Amino acid sequence: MSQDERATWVAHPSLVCGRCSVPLQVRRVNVAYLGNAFPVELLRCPQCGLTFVPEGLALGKMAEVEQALEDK
Amino acid sequence: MTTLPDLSLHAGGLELTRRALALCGATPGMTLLDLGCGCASSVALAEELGLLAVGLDRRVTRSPGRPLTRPPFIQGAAERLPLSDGCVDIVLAECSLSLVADRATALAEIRRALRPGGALALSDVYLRSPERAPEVGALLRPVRRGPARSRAAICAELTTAGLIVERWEDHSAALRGLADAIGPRAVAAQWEPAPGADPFATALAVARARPGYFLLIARLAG
Repeated sequence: MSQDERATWVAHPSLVCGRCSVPLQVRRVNVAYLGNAFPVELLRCPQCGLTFVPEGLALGKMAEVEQALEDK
Repeated sequence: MTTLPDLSLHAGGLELTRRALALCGATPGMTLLDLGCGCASSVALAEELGLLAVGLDRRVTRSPGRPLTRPPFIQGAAERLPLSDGCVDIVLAECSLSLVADRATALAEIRRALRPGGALALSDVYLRSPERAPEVGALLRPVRRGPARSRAAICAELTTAGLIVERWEDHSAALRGLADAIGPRAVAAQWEPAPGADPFATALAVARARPGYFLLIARLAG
């Protein structure tokens, strides 16, 4: 996540957990795939731990990492 | 077959440890040091095979159901082994040497502690696409660049330390279950981005470099 993206997310308290109604916070999350795992920063509910993965990120950078790990 | 619970934190588990000891020619009565032993599962296996084994780690890790002093354990650093010269037949380093801040000093200590003809069994993470290793290393925290090495770089380090590489095996398939076995946090810790580095760019660079796992046997000329 670039510093600009991070600043945008932190500045949008309207992103809240649907279960807890608590504003999401930027937190370190360890994302695992095919035995590998990487530390990244994502929005997460501080109460229940639910992590928000934006569609653009999932279809973009995360998909790139998955593709690279799948390639032999 | 061992009846020990596999509490190891390295890819391949005790099955790979057993293979490493066999390749070293381990026989009852030999002395063994497990460098970065964690909860000392490999030490317990070595003892079961009749070796005189001791584990060393910076941290004290309690194992469920085992007293704190069993198996034998020393709290210490790889860069300053509390062992006399030439007293060890086998040094085992499983997913630990890449996490040592000063690997050159640690390898010099391993060389010092090994008896002539003794063996180092080293298993760890490496990058299977060597041309991408510098890019990955530049994105990681300086003290955590150990995993970002190619096969050639690893072998060169051992040669520089005066150890002769006898055998190299790729065990990358063992990585598949590692995050499930030890938790993604421990695996992710290997690829900690440097301050200011984009975490996703780091993850992509690592993925493109094809992280793998190896087992290597090296000896001190005897």
